[in-house]
Amino acid sequence: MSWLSRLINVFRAAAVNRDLDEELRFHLDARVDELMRQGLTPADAEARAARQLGNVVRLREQSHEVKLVPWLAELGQTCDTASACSGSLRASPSPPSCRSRVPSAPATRLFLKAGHSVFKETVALFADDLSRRIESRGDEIVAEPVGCQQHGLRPDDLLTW
Amino acid sequence: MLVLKILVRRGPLHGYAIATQIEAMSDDVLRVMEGSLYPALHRMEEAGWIKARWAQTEHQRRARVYEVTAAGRKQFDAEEVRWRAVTGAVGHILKHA
Repeated sequence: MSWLSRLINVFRAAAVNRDLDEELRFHLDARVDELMRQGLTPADAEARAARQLGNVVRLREQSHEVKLVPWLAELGQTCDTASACSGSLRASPSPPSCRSRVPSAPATRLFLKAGHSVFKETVALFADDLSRRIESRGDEIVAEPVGCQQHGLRPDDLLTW
Repeated sequence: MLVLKILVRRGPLHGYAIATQIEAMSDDVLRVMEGSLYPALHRMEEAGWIKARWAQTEHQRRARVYEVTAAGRKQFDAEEVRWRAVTGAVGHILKHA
């Protein structure tokens, strides 16, 4: 992925946020309509729909984290490619595209290589931490059994899949 | 697994419809806790099992609808086999133990 694409992705975060908000807004409105059809007042329906959906800010964060992990993995791969490119420059027979982008002074090359390593390590650590957090959270869809007595289920049963 | 099954059977649906379909198809036994639905859908999207696009509903509202991909169908087949193996084993134990 080019640096231009990365830059676009930074601005894309705002669009992703807008999409998530619109998606959750649609869900809330649909639930409010249904609850009002069941006889609730608009205020009660909105309060219940919001309660059922939960913390919207947290949902946005969770969705963002899910979308961030593959992006970070790709960023790490780009670091590898850039590093390999800079290495091939030192070995001399390198593609012209590398030659034009990487400065030839040995000190600068060393500085860039060190920068690559630190940056790559930081990205890897961040991605690992994020993956662990998502893994521990599970991101499973949770369903609760309703009509417990009718179906012989315990009220505190939580079924996940 | 249930989301994939619903999407395979019903075609493209938005999140709210997925939640209500699960409830309806389980004869109102299961109610999806809505807060857990969207992070899971986005994770499945990142995994490539489903893909999303914006579409107009019959009430002229913009909704993000999800549909299953070929990888998602494959994933569903694998999960269904695993689920049937586990429930079959439990059933066998309940019947014969």
